[in-house]
Amino acid sequence: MNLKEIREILELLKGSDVSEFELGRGDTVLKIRRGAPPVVYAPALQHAPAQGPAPPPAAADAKAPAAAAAVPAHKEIISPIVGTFYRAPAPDSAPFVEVGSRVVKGQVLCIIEAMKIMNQIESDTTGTIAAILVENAQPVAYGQPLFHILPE
Amino acid sequence: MKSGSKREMMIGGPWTGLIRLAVTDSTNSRAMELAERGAPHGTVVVADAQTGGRGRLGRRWISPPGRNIYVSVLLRPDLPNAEAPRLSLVAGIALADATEGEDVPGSLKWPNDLYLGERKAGGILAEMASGGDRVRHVVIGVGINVNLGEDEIPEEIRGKATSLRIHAGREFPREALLASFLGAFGRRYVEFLAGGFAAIRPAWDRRDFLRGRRVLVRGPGWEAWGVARGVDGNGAFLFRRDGSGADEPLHSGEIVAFETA
Repeated sequence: MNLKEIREILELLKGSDVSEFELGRGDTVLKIRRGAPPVVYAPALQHAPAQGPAPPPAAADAKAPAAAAAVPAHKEIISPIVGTFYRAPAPDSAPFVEVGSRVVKGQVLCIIEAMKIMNQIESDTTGTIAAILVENAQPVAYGQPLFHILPE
Repeated sequence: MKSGSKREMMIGGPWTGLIRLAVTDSTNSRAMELAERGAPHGTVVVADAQTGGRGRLGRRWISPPGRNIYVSVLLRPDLPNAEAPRLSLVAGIALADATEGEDVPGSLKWPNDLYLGERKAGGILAEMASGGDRVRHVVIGVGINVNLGEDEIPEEIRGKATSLRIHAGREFPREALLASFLGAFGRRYVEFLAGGFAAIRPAWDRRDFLRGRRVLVRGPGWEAWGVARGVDGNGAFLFRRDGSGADEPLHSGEIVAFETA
């Protein structure tokens, strides 16, 4: 992950209502919490000084306002039915997606169950999962937002 | 299950093709894969045995060879997503129609378990994919315990599960029962598309296994006792929670215990 990419991510987040963002690339994890100063964690990063990454995003932030209006918003995936939200195909399986997962159009993001019909909800966008808005095994209403995806 | 029943498959339904497998992991998995590869509306997948027969949420479905019916149907209905869960009830009604045709009347535990007496003899797992706000395809898988013997039922569900044979004390021809189920499903499906759930609701109501019973319901993050009050016009389960004066329509959730009749 280079500074340009981090700057781009910060740009994308601007104008969205994402409060937390997490992105994994190899052994680097970028975590951004909005409302507080952005922070970059680089747990196993060998080629960057540990204290290095924090300032640049702040700098990017400071320079950004002029571009804010042109920022593409995230896409929202909403529930098409009333039912129960499941993040994995079975209780002991891995979730379909995590925050930071790259997804392609048509990929299954979750299951919503109603009357024992397991409805696979697919992404209508290629991009990165920016937020998962419902907890596993919770009820969802018709039209309720489930995911935010940052389109590519 | 021998081949050669193409003729029967044409009885009253949207069935366009029948795929017979000696053994597969799960007829639902096969049908979902076929659906992704463009298999037509009305494709039917039948297996003599399943190695990974499953129910909802990854639960196992006992699937030995030569005994039962394991069948999945692929449908591509022109329906909004919100209407699709009703197909689950349509399948349950067809299941009860089929056993009734063999003089074994069953009842339906919401949303679609088949009960003979106080024990479960059939179950349905439905999986669907939606594009935008309409159904892309839906696969409805049905397991019917036909000639399963008491000794073949695993200990953990003994006394809770049954088969047509255990219940009625005689063997049943699986092939005829399968044709009868597909025929019934086809008819109920057409009725449902034409008239909505209202058109088939009487066929559900008269077989309601739980109505009037005390039930323990588990929803997301809660569990409560109350009384089963039937289904509403949308097919939702009507639950009168203890201490409440009103019926609550539930679209998901599970009846984890019930008072026996």
